[in-house]
Amino acid sequence: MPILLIEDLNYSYISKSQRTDAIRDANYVFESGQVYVIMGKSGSGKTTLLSLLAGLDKPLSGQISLDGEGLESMDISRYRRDKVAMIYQQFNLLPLLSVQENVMYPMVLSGVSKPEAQQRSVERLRELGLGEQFDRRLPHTLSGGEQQRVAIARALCMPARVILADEPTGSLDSENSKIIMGILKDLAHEKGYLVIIVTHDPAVAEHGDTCLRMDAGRFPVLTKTNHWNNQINS
Amino acid sequence: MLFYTRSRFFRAWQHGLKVLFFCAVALVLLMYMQAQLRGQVAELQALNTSIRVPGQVTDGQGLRFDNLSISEQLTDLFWSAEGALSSYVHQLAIKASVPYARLAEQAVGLSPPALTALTTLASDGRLRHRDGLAVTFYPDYDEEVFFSDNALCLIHPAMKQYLEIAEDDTTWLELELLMHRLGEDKPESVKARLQVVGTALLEDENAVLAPYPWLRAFAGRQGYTISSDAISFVMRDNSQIEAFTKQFLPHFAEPHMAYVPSKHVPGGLYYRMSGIVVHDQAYQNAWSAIERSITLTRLSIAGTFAMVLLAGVLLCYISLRNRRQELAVLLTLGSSKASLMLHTVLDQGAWVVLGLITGILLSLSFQVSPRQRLMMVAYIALSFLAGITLTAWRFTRLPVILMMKDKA
Repeated sequence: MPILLIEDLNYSYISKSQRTDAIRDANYVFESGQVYVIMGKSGSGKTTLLSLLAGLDKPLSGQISLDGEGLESMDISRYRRDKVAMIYQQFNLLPLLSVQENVMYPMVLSGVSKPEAQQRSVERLRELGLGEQFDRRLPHTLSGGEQQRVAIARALCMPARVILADEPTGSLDSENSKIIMGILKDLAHEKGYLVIIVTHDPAVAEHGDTCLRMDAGRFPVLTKTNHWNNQINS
Repeated sequence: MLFYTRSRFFRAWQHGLKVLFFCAVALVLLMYMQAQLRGQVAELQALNTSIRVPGQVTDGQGLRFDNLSISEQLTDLFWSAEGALSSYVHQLAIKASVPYARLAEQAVGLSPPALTALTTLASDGRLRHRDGLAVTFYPDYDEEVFFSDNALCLIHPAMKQYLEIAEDDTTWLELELLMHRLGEDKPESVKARLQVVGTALLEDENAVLAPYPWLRAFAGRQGYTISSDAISFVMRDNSQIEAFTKQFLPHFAEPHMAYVPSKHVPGGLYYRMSGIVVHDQAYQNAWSAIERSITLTRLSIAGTFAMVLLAGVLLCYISLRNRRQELAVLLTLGSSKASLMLHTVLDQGAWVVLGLITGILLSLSFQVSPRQRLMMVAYIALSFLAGITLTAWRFTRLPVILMMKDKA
């Protein structure tokens, strides 16, 4: 079932001296239960596209729809809170909150009671292999892989069914990368999440169900499902 | 979302201490300056009574202060309850001389005998350096007698031979005063009987000193006029010098060397041949010096207020600028801009409150009114609130993409 749709999407970075077209006439339909990997050179507009999908900015033209409802007609804070979850290369955990508080934060924001949020956060953390000893630690005391797992736990605690990941393994070693990609794949294939990953890493691309190439703001310039990565990187 | 605020409060205490320190120092500084200002204003107010500003009636040129022949009407301006100038002055000294005919035949000295009417001993230059020998009051009398309308007098000891002793052992002196009716040049002889209440050891052995109010009333009752030789006074409240000047100008001139005395001022009942000098230079100098200090302090306070506002806004801006990535994360997690601003106000505001409490405690000893204290506390709180709100508003208007990239 298609859930995320982009139509004729355009976006530019406009400064006093210049205008840079980051996305040009992008069109695509993302379906739930799938892992999409978007690849492209630096500056091709991948992260910008992901940010627009996350509702972090408004496109200059075109439309993004989720389950048939246009983004422009939604309350953007609610969209960010309830519809999509972001995972970043730099994890973007709140530095002064403990691991558990970081995971709890979006739930409390959604109106979940504190005890319930605590319980659910503990469950998610344990599912991702983070034991009790991590609950009260601050993010900067964790390794990259642990921080990314906290970020995923936080994303999973949100009611969102769409996970947008920007270089989720960019700061991790290969072993942790495999673990994180495994988690994301499971979320898509077993729990029906729509997972969209932006990456440079061909190894990550192997985990995707669909690989999309982006070039100079044009999206997608090439689409490949399964066993495509050799071709896409050629 | 209090746990977020609480966590930030305890875990970002280094930054919080900066805010606390800033607020406390700003408040103490402002309180100190306000206390200084309050002290200076009090000092200025005190000048109105602490500095003695004397004044004198003079001739038109301001050269003579005695033998002025000041009319009754002008004199009344100073001492009578209805006098236009009486409410402005105190320590009033009026002197008037009236010749008298000696009752006895023998002459003591060459100077013409005269009764000198006074309101205070200071009215007569011969008595100013009172040392207890020159003037002796009999028991039950003192200097106050000169501001009464009782028929009393002091005499030179040499005049004791002319005294009458009454049955009750009081001593009396009878004089034939030579007084003028209005418009008449030739004096008339009028008998006056005065009780002697002491002696005045003056060089002039004909000296008789009597209260001016008595003489004024005595003459008035019988249709005679007396003119005053000299009037001096001290300003009751120096802040009234200007008002006093406005009051005396219709009656007296301000002494000027080019002023020519004239008895023929059109429509003038009084001769404007008399002037007044008010010796207020010391007062004006002291006033100007304190006023300059007050102006400087006020400017400093205004400058400090501006600096506090600027520094408060800047501190908030720097603080939030360093946190813009964190703010962006909060936005991506679904925090609304309003709740983001509330977060920032709460977690900075808590330290501001602590800083203000510290400042209040540190400045308790400063003499500042509760209203001013409250105003300064409110000002610093509002400066910070403005700083936090403005910068939070500024950051929440930026594209989240740029904030996330830490390029905002």
